[in-house]
Amino acid sequence: MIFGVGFVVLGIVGLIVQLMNPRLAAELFAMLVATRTGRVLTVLVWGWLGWHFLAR
Amino acid sequence: MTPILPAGTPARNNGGIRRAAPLAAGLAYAAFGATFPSHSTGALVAVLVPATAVLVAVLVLRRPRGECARPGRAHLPWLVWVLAFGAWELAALFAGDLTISLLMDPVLVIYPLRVAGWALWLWAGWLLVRR
Repeated sequence: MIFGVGFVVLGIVGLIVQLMNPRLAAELFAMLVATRTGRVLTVLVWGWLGWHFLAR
Repeated sequence: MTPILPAGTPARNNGGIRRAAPLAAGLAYAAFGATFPSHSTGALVAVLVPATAVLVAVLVLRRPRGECARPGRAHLPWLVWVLAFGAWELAALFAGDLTISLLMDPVLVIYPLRVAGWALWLWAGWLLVRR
């Protein structure tokens, strides 16, 4: 239950941040994939998300 | 005989097909992947194939390092949110509490929404390869 409430709070905070400046999220993503190591780690996280949500 | 076209009309294909082909392929794969239910070997293989392809593409393709902004105070709320989101999901996973993926399970059972989920995931992978 407490985790569910936490998700809702995180979602609201995320929405507020998004409304503040969506460009910042794109910049943060660009920083994340600026290096080869960053790109590989991001791909691994992306793959895990695919497995976690769509396959497991 | 040269066809008479209005001004500004491209005389040749301006790359529309080249842009539409990956989109059509991605949607077709999303429709195919969504046919496999969760917890099945088919779904696992359907996820592993594009994941491996994207990983190989990222390892093989060399991209020039472009100018990139450094994280500043303005990015902090996003960074905190992403880390908090990840920590919360992992904590809920290990604590056996409701995770977002569990909450999404009833939604992702519906085929059109499952196709949308697959398409979203594949689109994110495409963005990673294009970067």
